[in-house]
Amino acid sequence: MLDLSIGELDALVVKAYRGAGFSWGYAQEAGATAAWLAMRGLPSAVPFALLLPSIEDVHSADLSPVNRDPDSWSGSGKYLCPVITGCVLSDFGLAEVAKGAALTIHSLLYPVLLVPAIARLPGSYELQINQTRVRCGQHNVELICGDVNTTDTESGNVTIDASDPVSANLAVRQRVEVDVSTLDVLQSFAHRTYVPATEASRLAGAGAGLLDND
Amino acid sequence: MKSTCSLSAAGEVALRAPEKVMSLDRLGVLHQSRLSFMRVLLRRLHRQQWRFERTRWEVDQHGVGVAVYTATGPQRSYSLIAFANDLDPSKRSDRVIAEEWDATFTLFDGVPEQSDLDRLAGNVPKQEAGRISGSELSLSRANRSVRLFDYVRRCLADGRQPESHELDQVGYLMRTTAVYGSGKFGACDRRFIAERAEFAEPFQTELLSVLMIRAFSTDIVEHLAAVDNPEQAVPLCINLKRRLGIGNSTGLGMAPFLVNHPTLLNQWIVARETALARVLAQSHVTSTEIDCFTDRLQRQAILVSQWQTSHELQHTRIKALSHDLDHLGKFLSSMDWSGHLPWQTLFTWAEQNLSFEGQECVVSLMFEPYPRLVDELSATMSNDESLHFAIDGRMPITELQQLLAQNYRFTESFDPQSHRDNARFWYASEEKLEPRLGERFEEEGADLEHPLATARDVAALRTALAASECTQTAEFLLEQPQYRHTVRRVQQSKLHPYSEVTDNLISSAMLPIDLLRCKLSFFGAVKFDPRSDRWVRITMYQHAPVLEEIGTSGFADDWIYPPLPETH
Repeated sequence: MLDLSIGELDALVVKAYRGAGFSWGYAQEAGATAAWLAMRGLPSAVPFALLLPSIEDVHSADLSPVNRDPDSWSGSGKYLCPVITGCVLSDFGLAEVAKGAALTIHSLLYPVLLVPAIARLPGSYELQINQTRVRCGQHNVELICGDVNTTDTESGNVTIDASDPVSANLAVRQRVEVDVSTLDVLQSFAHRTYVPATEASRLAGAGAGLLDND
Repeated sequence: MKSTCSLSAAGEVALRAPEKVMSLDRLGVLHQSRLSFMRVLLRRLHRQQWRFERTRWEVDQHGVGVAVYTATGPQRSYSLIAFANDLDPSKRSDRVIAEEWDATFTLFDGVPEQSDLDRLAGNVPKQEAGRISGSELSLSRANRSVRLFDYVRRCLADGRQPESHELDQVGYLMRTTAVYGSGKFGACDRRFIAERAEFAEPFQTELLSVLMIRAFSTDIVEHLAAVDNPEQAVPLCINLKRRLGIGNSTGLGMAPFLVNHPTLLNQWIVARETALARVLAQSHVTSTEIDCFTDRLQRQAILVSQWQTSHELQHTRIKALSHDLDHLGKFLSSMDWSGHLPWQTLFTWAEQNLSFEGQECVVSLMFEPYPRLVDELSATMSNDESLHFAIDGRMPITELQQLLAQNYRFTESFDPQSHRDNARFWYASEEKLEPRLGERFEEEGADLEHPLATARDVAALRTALAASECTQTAEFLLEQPQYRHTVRRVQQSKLHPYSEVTDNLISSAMLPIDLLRCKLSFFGAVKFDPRSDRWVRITMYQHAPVLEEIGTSGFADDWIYPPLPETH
């Protein structure tokens, strides 16, 4: 296991998500999502390492909730990406849900990655992800029942309903432990954003040339 | 010519407009001021009477070993752990791609145990290839100035003090080549220490590290001189120690910072512009305030006379600045201070008669007599960027377009077909992830470009919005997610009008050193010496009190201006 700072995880996930073929704006949200979850002790690096191989190079439109009825969101492809869906939720808001109408999001990959987007919205919401129920709002989250991990929630339908405010206050974690194989996956995606070094770029790209040692 | 700082009916002076101050030809000539983070740090250390102690010095005759310096404030202690190295001169390089240095450092949160030192000894000397933990707040390294270090070592070993003019030529014994902070390589994230009063302003951990590295640089030269000649060697006298700052060599790695932290940049510039507006609004000036300004002007002229560079553009700017200060001195001799808004009169004259470099220098000098107006503004120079991260999806497209018209006029001239306007791309090299600038039409890798081409991206956004039938930001971004990072910036500019550098950062005419100069001036650096258009050497803490003077009557906040020559 490697002990990472939250900032390192954020930066790594931004690059990895970008490396998987998505826009910088989405990548920034992916990094913030990972950091938010890690600070609350929830799965962060692992679901991203599992998510990216399943969505790499898929056009983001095919991972987006393009069908948005008041009670049901779904995409045109096989799955929805939780980062993109989180952005859309955040951008459009959950006014209908806040008024009491439950919303089901269909075939969402790694639903735990949707939690931060909902927790940042005004109001409080209960999420049912398969057998797991969590309550979130006011930048906070609490588990009602089940287990928020990634292995049994690879994808699923997520139901979002208005709820009472979150009562628990999770202690903030300052570090995140990431196992080597997860790190390898994220780094290999991040690596796709680096330009291979050449002798020319080593000299010109960083602007050396004059003696740098006197 | 009319000054851009207009007076409102309420007697307040308006801030200079973003389009005036946010261009690279202005940001690239900023000077340190009372608001610079080094001066903020030293004021706090002095006010709170921090104590500094070298608690460990285990360095051998080859200059290899470990040293610990502990700083103790009212609530906490921090320790600089230094690993001294006997570097093969052929390996000495200031580049990020170097792999060994004369000394490496970390700032430890508290007082380290032996087990911490053992752990860090296996990691800190490796720098980017090692790992530090949440107990560490910075990671840095420094190389000796070949020009000065050996000279001072020889002098001290011979039992004599080095010549002060030789010290002034270089200004430092060692030069840091990277000072990493917040979260880097495993270090503690800033967000978890931002609530500590001593770290309220930006970059305080990094600059505390550098302040203590300066003490190490004089300790190690004294140590080696004593090794060379145990019988005769003398320590460096305190007056000369004060004369030595610490150098820094900074390249493109720092350049993207201001672009990647737009709301923070806004806080820095607004603080500076607010300070200026407050000073300009003073209706009367006392003789003490005039004397202070005149004193700093004279001492600034000494600083400028010691400022050397072989970079042609900067050389020209320094010559102009020197002339400007002279010109200002003459103007002051006939200045009528009893008139209405005398600083406004002076600044209007400066705007009409001085170079940009000179004008911005005058801005900093005008802060000097006014600690009560200026110093408190440093508390506004940090922010929680996460509060401004979320996109407002409900913002009507028309409002987004208004923001473009209001805050992004500089992008209207961007020509997507022009090679000149699109000449470069910012990227991260596979090699130690060094940030670099590529030539788009000559090199591979433009498909891996980093999102720093604000002018191009905003120009493209403007065109896309005009062609879109969407009425709301949320709909537009769902259709065209490639504009998400740009829309975030544009929305942030609504409450942060000083958040954008108003130049095209991929133009063939863009000078990265202008971005470096802006950031480093806020640190409190002086004597900017560009070594190319892409990296710069600077001097920090020259003439600052040495550690044992902090908290004593020997401290004065005018330290950054060199002392006037003693008259007999």
